[in-house]
Amino acid sequence: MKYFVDALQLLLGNNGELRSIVAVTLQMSFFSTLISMLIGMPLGVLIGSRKFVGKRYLVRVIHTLMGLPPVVAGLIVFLLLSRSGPLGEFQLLFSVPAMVIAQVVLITPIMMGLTASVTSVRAKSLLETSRGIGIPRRKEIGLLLYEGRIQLIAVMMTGFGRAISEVGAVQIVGGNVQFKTRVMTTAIMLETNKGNFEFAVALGIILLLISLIINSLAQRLQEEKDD
Amino acid sequence: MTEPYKNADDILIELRSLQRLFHRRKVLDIDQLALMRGHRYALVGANGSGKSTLLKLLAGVIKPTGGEIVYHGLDGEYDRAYLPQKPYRFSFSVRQNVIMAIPDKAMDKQQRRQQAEEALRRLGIEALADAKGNKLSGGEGQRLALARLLAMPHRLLLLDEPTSATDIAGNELFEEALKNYLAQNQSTLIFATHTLSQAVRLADTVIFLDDGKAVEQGPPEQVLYHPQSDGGKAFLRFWQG
Repeated sequence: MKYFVDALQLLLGNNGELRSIVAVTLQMSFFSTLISMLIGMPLGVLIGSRKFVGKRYLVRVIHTLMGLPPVVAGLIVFLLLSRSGPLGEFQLLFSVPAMVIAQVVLITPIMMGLTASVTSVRAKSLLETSRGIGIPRRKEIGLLLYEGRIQLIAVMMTGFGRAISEVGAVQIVGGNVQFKTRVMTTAIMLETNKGNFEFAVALGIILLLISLIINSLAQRLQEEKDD
Repeated sequence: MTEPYKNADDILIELRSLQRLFHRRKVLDIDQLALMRGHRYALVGANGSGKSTLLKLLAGVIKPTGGEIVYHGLDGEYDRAYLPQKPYRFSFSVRQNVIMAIPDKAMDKQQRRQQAEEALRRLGIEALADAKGNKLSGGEGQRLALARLLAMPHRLLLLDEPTSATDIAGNELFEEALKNYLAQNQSTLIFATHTLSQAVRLADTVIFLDDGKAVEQGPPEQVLYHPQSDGGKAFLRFWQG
């Protein structure tokens, strides 16, 4: 109980490190979600709505990657960005962009797989209808995205939720550098190890609040759709 | 099987050795068939006889596995219109659902709106113009889908069980609207139906499909009431109970 009270005092106070951690977390989660969405959703729509040779195998690969362990993603990105790696010259390791890249590797298959699943439900009927009335094919992806918009917003929130709560990959490529790459999850780990429980609890409360907001929005959208 | 015709110029579509496989099973196999301009064809047959597949092939929604379809004078983007068995209703307003079937270049925004509302009126759903398309009942949705097709003059209408979800009043409105449309635009109609009385009312030619093959073709009274093929006779017995 003492830790909880101390944590609330921390939250109501003006702690610079706490603010920095929250800001870095939101920045990293926002950009990784945005980039994953821009890559994953159009590809997901294509996979969900088109028939092509090898589709079954591609979907299997995507589903496997949806469950990619974060530490494995972190390791891959670490090796790519390390000084001796193919992208070492960009010196991105232990920076927010490196964390964003690792998150994109993790979240894009999730966005792609869920979008393909959402799209495939209505694709056949929608495409037959739109082609039947002569709607140009270039408009099909836009129509599929629009018609699935409510579920796709939920997909986006799922991606954001994954990004904000992830710890393994960002720890490896971000390095948990104070005021630079420290995010809520890595900070909770560190502060717990140090025995600084009120700080860890304060971060935990913020993380839970953000998660609550995201889930409430997703649920509300779903309810609006059902109405 | 080819319908005897007087003038080759009257042919709108020719099917030549047309085949379609589905999971390695032949679901359509038509050696030869000519469909004439301005005619009204009803495709009749049991479930799985190939009616929907033939319509999808004619609409260009799916491609043949073998053979070819030759269209005569159906080159325009909007010459063919196809209504699938389960038409999709977009989540826009009902009016917008119809407007989207009228190309921008065809007319200005106000004219498109008027044209759409006229089509809705013909199908008796003008009161639903502001409702969301995806919130309509099955029958209303089917009428909306039909209004979308009738909002534009098409040279060929392909309808897959167009009134499977509509009630008697909806059927009457649809048939009336369709007849007026065909008379006005001199369009060719090809539709699949399980309602044989509808085939008699709307079609001048019935094509009976059995196991993917067009086994009989002729006036409705002949094909439906005096079938020559074994499949046709069995289908008629089943239909008559």
